[in-house]
Amino acid sequence: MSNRAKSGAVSINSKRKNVMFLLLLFVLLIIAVVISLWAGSYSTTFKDIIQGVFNKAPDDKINAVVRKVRLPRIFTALVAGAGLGVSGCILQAILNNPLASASTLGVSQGAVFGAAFAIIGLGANSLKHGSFLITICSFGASMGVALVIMGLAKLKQITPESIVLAGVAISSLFTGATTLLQYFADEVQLTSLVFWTFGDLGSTNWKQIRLMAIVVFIISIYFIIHRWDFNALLSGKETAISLGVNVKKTTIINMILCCFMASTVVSYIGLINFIGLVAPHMVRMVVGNNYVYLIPGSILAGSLLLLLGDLLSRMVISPVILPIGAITSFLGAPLFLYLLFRRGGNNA
Amino acid sequence: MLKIKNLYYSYPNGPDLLENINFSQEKGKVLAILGNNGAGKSTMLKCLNKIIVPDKGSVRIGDKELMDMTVGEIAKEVAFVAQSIPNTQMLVHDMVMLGRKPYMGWGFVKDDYEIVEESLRSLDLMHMKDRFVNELSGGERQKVMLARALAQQPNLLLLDEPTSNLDIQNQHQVLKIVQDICYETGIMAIVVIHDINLALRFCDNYLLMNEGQIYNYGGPEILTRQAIWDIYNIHGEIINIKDKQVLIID
Repeated sequence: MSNRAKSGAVSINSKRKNVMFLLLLFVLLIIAVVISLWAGSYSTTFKDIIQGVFNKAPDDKINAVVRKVRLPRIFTALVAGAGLGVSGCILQAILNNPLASASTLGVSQGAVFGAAFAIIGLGANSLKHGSFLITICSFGASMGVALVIMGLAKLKQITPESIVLAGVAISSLFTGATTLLQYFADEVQLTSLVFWTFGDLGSTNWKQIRLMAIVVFIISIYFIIHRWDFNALLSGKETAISLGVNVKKTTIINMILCCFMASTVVSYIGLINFIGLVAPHMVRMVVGNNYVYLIPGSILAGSLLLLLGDLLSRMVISPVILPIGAITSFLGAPLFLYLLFRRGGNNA
Repeated sequence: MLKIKNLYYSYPNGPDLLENINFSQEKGKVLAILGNNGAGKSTMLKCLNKIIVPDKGSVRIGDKELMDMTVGEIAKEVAFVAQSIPNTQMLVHDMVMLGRKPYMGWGFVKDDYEIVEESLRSLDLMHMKDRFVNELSGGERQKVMLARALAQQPNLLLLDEPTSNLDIQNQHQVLKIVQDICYETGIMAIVVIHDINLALRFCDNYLLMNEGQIYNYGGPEILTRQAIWDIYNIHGEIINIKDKQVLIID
């Protein structure tokens, strides 16, 4: 075989490997969805569950459990996981930092503080458009965090490593501020806020899921369209400009979109750590740093991780449902350490 | 033809880093920019494709004024190879494909793939196109960066110290490739370089820079004993050995 034909075949194999990996993630996601539908304290046959999805189970209780409890929970996990996964992936690209994610940069903690301020400071729970106010406040606070990070990066020319350290400090600041607000909350407000800090996939309705899905879908499409901009950024700012990327504009727009998506997700399900950090790294280990595969991979891996985390939180001491935020942190931290040490000295 | 006129650049509220830069460059020639650290060589190079936006001045390629163009439009005229070589886990083929980014619509088309294959072939990289960039040696990675720059189909190639991290064999190989590309395709190259002997071997013209200004511009004859003293503060001269010009330090 000639060299040319040989290398052509190798390239096709590499593309096939990446596509196969994305397909594998998709299949695993489908399996996880099916298991999530089936698993729960209300046990019944698989056939009934499938009929319940279409509201055609013989028992109305099954229809209700599937359509009002399990399906919204599953869709919330799918959409929120996708949003957190892809936002982590893009933040890592634009900040050129493999440790960047909404939670490590303090954006999620900012969103939680914003929500706490809306709930406790503005009494959002008792207002007609309270949930909208919570979203606005959490978005505003997370954007504030994003602006501080971008300002530090620009004005003080701090290194990518220092950006994450600044994120740790900002996270700590907002966690402290949220705790202070909690101190002045009444019981109802405190209960509402506790769900936020624990993370909760079970309190969203279809309307909220739809809104979250629209935000995640549109922004993800934007990221996919601009996938080669992120590839260009991998070679450094100067090379990216020489390839026609307006680096300043790209950084600002994508930072805003990531924060908007992360804060939208966090404003509905509360604080979920590590999905945005771990999902892109898992995918990166197989497909490398090409954002053509990394973006869809992070979307699928984020959904899969959150869904599996939720499944675990429901199954460990069933019928008690453990807080999802604690489960993702508990599993995500060692998984991230494993990925970090396995990668060794490789740069992202 | 490249024409640079009255180019100025300074940090905000700071002194001029580049002052009144004027020179021109013919098609198919390699220009070396020489000077000490801090002379403004890399700054000037980056001003030519607006990586750094100059305060004022004109950069023309043919009848196109680059200073009036967006970075996206400039990327179709000028390619840049940075001093630091990316060490990323990306396939060589995909890295070279980045060179087609300025031409990309919704996605890459058949022509883009053919141009990338041609760039890879011209630098003898086809056999490694499916390897990750971070698995390659420094010389191989620099060749990948050149292939990426060629895939941009530029009229002007800018190289910022392309040999600084390479061994002697790779230094010669990379600059020979640049020289061959210019002679064969007629594109212009500007190379920021510290090694005067390498410059003498592979470049056609020389631009000597000192404290943000052009000290002299021309062929190898401008590298006089006095010029070497004024620019580098060392005593030395260019002599001929076996038909090759080399710098001998006293």
